[in-house]
Amino acid sequence: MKPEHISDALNYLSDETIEETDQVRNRAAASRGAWRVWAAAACLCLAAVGAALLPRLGQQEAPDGLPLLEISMESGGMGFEGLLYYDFSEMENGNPWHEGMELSTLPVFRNNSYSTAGIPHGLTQEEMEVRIQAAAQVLGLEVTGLKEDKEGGGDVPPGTITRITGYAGGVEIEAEANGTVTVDFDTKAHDSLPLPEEYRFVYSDITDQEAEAVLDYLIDQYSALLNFRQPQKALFRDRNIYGELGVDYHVFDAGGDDVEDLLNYAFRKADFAPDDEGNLMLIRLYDALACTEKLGDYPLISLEEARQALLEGQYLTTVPYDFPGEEHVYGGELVYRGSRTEQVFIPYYRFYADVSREFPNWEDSGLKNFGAYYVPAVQHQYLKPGWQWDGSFN
Amino acid sequence: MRDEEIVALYWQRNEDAIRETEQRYGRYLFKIAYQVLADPEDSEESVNDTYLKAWSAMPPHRPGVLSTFLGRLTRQLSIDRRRARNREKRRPSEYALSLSELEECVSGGDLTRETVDFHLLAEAINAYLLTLSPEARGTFVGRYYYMDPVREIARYFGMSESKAKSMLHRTRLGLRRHLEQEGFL
Repeated sequence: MKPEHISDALNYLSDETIEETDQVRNRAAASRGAWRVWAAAACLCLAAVGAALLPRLGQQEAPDGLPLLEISMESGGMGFEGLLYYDFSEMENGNPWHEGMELSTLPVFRNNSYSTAGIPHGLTQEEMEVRIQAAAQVLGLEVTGLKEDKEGGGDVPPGTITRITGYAGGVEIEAEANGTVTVDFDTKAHDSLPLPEEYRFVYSDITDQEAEAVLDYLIDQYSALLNFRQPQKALFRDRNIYGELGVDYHVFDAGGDDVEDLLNYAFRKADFAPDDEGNLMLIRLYDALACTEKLGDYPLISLEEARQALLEGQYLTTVPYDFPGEEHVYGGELVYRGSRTEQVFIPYYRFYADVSREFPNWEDSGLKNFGAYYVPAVQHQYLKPGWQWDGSFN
Repeated sequence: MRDEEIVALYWQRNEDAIRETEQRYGRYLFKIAYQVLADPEDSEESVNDTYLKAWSAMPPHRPGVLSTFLGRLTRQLSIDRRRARNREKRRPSEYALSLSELEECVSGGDLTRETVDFHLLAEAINAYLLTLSPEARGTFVGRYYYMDPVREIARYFGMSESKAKSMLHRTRLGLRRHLEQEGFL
């Protein structure tokens, strides 16, 4: 028998087995993936997922000369973007935005690393190698070899170098062409790094105090790699389908003004990831603005105006169910969507709505499913008509 | 539009069925195809072939969960398309990686594709998977049916990558023992 036989046979698995996994993918992958910033790399790409951009030739402009924006919404995977909690008060994401910020405009960027297939591209080979060498140097490592990955097709030319991996004493430092750098300690030639015994470093079953303590330790240990003026912890917590409260360890540079802080939170975060022994497995540094072009500073609507727009159906969402009504709306925060499949990075107000009634089988668990709804924070006269999205499956 | 409404369009031979399917499932199916083919153009063609097959299949089929029904079509069409390519034109993909991992589940032998009863084999695999925890079952299906990268599987199950890899390794070894006991190896 060959592996292909096993793979082919899987096409005849029972519906129940396949759907069980698909539900997990839809629930968790969409919410986590859509929240995390996949730094979009450079280069000009036409993209349909997320915020799209006007064609370069014959761009339409608003009266004040800013380009009109054409936006849409996709989840970036499958299913819809949502979070699971027993109560929405559990939501925690470290977003620096607050209503007291006096913001009348925010920048909008063209994502020059978009591709229809999510292929990272934009940085040159030299630029990627510089990032690898810089990371190795601050870690006290020497790069002894490099491996290039090439991809292409569609809107990305064949043979495009999309990532380079540097090998340094068993540690692998990978630079993607969209600006992301990953330092992987858990390789065939190297083990994850143990932490001092007093720190617990796990994805779940950990208190906020413990999580903050270990993140403080890691920020201090890797301050040179992060190179942040004012490292700010941004723990993200949500529950999985078993009700377990998980945590993701993020940090961003809060050393700028309010606008810089919001951009750093969205596009230039760093992640620390543990293995299942509580050791440091990898560090990932995002730089989604590395391959972008600023289109301008766009006037904003207020949070209250956004809430009103939400209730009037003026929103984008991947939730494929009827809007549950005002009484089920929670939250309201300003965020940028910065996934690699967004053509344009614009700010939104994000709200959550309890759509648990669509999941009657989950009632016994007590878990509630909060679907994400986005209202563009940019004044809507700068948006091309027809941007509202009804939350189809995609 | 809900699944049952889209299926009704197929049964009515209303061509809006294709448009609705594309709107609702186009990206979902593209990702399945891309995990196999690693080529956007080929993946788009696979997805288009899926719509044609769906049009031929409904009626008489009336699937309850359209995503599962369509996903199976796309998966098999994409695998067939990849096999039809010359070796030189096969791009590295999650499908290829998943096959190399599944080597642990087989023992070589003389069986050809024509002599394997895939339905019986699937029953045996399904029976084994049902003995596992939902997490272990889901990581296996995520990796070898959906061909999601291990990193992504780890994230949507809320576990570390190393735990996901270990779980997959144990599941592969367990599957091999089960298939030996059932006489497939």
